[in-house]
Amino acid sequence: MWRFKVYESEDGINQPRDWYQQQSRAVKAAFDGQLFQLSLRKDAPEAVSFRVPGYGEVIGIAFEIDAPEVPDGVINVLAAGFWQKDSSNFVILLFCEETAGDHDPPLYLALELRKACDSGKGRIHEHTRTDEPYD
Amino acid sequence: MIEDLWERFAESKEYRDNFVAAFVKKSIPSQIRAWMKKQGISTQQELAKRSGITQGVISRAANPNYGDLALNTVIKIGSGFDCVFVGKYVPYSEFCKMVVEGSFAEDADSMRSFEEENAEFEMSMREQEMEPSKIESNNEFALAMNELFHREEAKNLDPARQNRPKSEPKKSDKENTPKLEKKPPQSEPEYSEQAIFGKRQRGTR
Repeated sequence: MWRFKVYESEDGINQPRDWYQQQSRAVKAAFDGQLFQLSLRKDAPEAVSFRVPGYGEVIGIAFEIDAPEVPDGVINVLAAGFWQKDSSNFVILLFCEETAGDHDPPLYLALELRKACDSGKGRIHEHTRTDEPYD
Repeated sequence: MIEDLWERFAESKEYRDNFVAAFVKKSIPSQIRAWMKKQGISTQQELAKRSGITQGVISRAANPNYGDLALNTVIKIGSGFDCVFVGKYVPYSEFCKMVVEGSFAEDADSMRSFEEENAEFEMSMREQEMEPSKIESNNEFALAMNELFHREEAKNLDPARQNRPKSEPKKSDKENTPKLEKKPPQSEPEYSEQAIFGKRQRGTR
């Protein structure tokens, strides 16, 4: 079973957690359901994740989340992160909402976070759904 | 993990509904992909041909963002893989149990068509004929079938079932039932059920 974790930068910013907490209950549930299904897929790394073109070691997993409250009825989110070596963890650096090819926040931030993470800065946590303390 | 999952479900019905909708919606395309890979089906066109539907329908079924799959489509795709699509409503506790037991994990070893399973079954029969001890110790499939057989046997021996009054067939049923000619007694079958499934039950190895 794959596990999804989140990255918190050295200055305490945890964008994946902040993004998640801002979502409605329906979006959180739809996202969790997809993530859970993904965690059970043996072929997840090759089947659903891909190297984001132009962003080096940043790996993306695209989510289309049903969201009745938004005009299009769906939110397209790219979980930008990486597969941790010798483990079954995918570390999410950023959740980028995608609209007409643009990402918010921009993807270059994921690249910067990846570099910071590789150099030992910041922390990796479990992906929690609430305000519960980490670890 | 299950405690966490259960807590999430307890949050609200809205949460449960949306979680399950997303889970199921993504699950079928994921299974289609895994079965195609396991069976060496390289194109949607090939699967469409096996399933007796168009490539466009397969394309939609395999799209994780398409949520309007027709029941007929998933059944026909099951036929294309020569396997069974089980649609079943279960309580949340059962869903959690299935997660724990790994029922949703796409295990390539368990993705076998009927033909593959049947070949294995026939092989086990031949092995049993040649070397009875081999099947008992080595053949997981035969052991599983053995377990199923004994479960069925236990059900038939259940006194509650035996005492249950047999319902009389309806008149219309009687009228429609063709009269069978009396057949001469049959000779002993070549393979007894015990010989086919092995003597031991699962877990006694």
